[in-house]
Amino acid sequence: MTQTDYDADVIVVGSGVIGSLAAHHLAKNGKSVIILEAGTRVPRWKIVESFRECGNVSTDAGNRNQPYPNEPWAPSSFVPDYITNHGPIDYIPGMLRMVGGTTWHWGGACWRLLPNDFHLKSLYGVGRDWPISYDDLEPFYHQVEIEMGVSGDDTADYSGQNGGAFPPRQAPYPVRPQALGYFSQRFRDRVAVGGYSFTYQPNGRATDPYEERPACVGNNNCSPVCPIGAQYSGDRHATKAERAGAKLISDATVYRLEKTPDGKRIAAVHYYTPDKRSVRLTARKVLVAAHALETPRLMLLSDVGNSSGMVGRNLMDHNAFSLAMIADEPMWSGRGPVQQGDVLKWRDGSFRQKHGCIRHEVGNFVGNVQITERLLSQGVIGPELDEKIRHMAARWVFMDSNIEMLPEPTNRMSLSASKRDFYGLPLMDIYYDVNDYARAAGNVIREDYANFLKLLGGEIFDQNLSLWENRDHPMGTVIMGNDPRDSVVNHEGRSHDHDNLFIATTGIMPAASVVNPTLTGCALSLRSASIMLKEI
Amino acid sequence: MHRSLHHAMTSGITLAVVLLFSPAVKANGQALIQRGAYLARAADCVACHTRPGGAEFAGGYGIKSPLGVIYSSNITPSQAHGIGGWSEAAFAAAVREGKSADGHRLYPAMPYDSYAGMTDDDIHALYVYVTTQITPVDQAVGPVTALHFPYNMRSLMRVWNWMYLDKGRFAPRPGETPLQSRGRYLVETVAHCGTCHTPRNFMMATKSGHKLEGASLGGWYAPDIAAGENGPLASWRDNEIMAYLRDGHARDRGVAAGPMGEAVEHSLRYLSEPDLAAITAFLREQKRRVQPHHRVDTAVSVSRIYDVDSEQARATRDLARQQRNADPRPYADRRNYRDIEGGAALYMAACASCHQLDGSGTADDFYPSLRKSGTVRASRSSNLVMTIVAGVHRNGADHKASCLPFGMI
Repeated sequence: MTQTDYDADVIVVGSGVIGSLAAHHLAKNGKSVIILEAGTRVPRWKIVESFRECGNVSTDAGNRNQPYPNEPWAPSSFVPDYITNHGPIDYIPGMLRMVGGTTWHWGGACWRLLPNDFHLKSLYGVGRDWPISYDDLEPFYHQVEIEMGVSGDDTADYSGQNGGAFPPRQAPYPVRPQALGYFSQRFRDRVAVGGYSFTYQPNGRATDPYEERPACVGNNNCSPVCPIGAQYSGDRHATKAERAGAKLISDATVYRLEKTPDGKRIAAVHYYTPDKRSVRLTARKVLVAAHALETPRLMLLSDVGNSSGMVGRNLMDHNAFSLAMIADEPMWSGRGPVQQGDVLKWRDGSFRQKHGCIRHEVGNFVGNVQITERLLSQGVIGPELDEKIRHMAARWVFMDSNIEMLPEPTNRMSLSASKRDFYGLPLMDIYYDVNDYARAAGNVIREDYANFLKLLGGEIFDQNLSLWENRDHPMGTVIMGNDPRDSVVNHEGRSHDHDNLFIATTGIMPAASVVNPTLTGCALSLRSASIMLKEI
Repeated sequence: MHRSLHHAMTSGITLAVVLLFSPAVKANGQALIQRGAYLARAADCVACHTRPGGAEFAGGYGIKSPLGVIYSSNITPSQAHGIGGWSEAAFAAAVREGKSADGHRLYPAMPYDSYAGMTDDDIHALYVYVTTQITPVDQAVGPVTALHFPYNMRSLMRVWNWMYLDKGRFAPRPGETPLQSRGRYLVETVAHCGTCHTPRNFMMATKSGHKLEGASLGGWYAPDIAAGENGPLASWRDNEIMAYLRDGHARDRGVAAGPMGEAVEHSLRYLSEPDLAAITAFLREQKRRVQPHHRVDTAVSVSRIYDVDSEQARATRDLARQQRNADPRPYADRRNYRDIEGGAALYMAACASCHQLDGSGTADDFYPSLRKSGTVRASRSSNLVMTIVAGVHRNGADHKASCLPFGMI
């Protein structure tokens, strides 16, 4: 007998940007939608107040999760035991559990992938090909850019080859680029001498007021929190989805996806309330958009969608190195947003047969905290301390690099054997290592850093060329592919095993590229939502 | 031009309009069209005759009145759904007398009681502009105005008109300077300021003898705008009144939000400097017998933008600290931020990032000062509350202004 009575057309698990965009799209088109969010809901002003009081004064070096909620039933990622590691590299990305998700504390980067990123295996003989191409995703990139109000440079060659505008777009960016701050201008001019181009980073900050967001005025606090909400965050579309008719239930930890007796569909979604009551909801379709780590965790807990054995595997990030230097002239970093541009010299090319592509992100932070700590540790005090802080902070240049990683089944998230959550369910354990393909790119970074130091007359303040810093860009854990034997979802984001189960997270990306994956995750999510719309 | 000509021919409107396109009178015709376009801006037709996201002038905008929602009509020159077949006389009757071409009566949500004074020349310019320059939208308005009994009886409007409609045309008065009479014409007739700023009686007619004295409007309050003796705007300088109308803000005076923000965005920012000066001159003539309720502060606003050590700033900070020390728990444990509260904490976290710790805003007024703002200091808190709840979204002549709608996030 066919079921006809459901609690909703679609249940969306997760109210971050990826889930909320899809929920909004579905609700706007007349579908009944329930969004379940494990975390709680907090207005921006309370986060700002919490940030100011928590002693987390450095946007770069501090714990960015710290000003945010840590409900016992929805801890953020740095809470001890939430994620344990047993591999060579510790991997715990910054991640928030609340209405709006982790884009509460991001840098706002909104990159499109390049067409070549979708054909890594065919073009360069490494990694995997996507089952779709850039052209399939372009309309959804466009749609997301309008939803989020993305600012970008319509003339930039984002493949880093200094050619014409690339990749192709059906329309200009909806928001014009922000003027480059003095720091960005000086950096651009100084490194240009050495043949490095500085490219404006597409971002979700409002150069001009956009919808209900005021224009960015350079509080330089994009992360941990934009105090005025000029920077896009997922809570925007969580709220917009509600206005369009979606029902959002916070403090609802989904712990089980219930299969139909024949195992072919998802019959219901079960969640716990903070008083440990269990609630069962049914829907025609289920969209799990619960982050690249919590999504596979939920699937493993539910024994769902894992006929390939790939759930939780192929974890990728953009692990790489960083460099902080004191340049030979005052650069005045720290005006404007925390990042404005990148060096994309190694964005794409035949070298990808041998090593991963590289992106150097140029930070626009102020180094006062690190500088002061260093000077105090050296015993510098009094007027000399003031003078040196001023001197060094004015000349502070920081960059962190990203490297393309390939999907390796051994890099995986699995259920913890010993750690349990508030409800007694297994937490997460991660094994992670950086493969030779990425390590080879590390050697290129070494050379680039030497060049940057020369070009800026820099003195090393801190150079990390050995520890593989993660970039909080988890991907690959519920990997997309055509073959149900080695992938979790098909090109639609639909589970190979369960017809009415869709997965939307950066975890479905089968190739990591080297750019922040949020926009791609969002485009994939809207693509899945548009497919779901046609079927309901 | 081709489309306009074609349109003029097919719709068979007056010979005069067709003649406009003969070379001899072309320059004259252009001037007439420009004048009509300017009048349409000044009369703010587009604001009410455009549905959010819809085609300009195609109607369907719902005006919420105490009697129910009144939907505006399609005033594009569409034959089927707009005013395409209307003669200039029919157009004039609608604009000045609230009589539609098909004979039905308009509700005074259409401010024909203000437009009644519009001169024949201006009606002509407006008619030519609307019928030749606006793209026809061949689409029905959609929602239909359906007020409850007895207001659904449009014929009753005849009585209303008899009681309240002053059919006198505008004409300069003896002793008036050209500036004063132009100002009176703009305020009372074309820009219909009294539609919002003059209180209405139980019949929804503007109260005689209370011109521009202030009235409530959907949660907002359109304040008394007398700028003469004892008027609330008496302390504003001429250039401040003009800047407010043009840009939607004047430092230490106030900002235009809500319906006034819309008036700036759609209409006032397009007015010429002489017209802004004329409006200002007219407002100066408006005097009040009693002292305004709110204080007129003579203190000078702080000049240093980031002076976080000012007395004001210290007081704000101390208050927040006291509140925190009285109950430190919410700050010690981040699970409890539902408990973070208190006006000072709220101000510091939600407002100070833009308006500064001491409320002085920025020197260029991009972020307005709150210290002397008329909105903050008003004896009536409606506009302050509405600004906080609904935010500010306004395009002025200088820039786009945006304040978050804190009631919606």
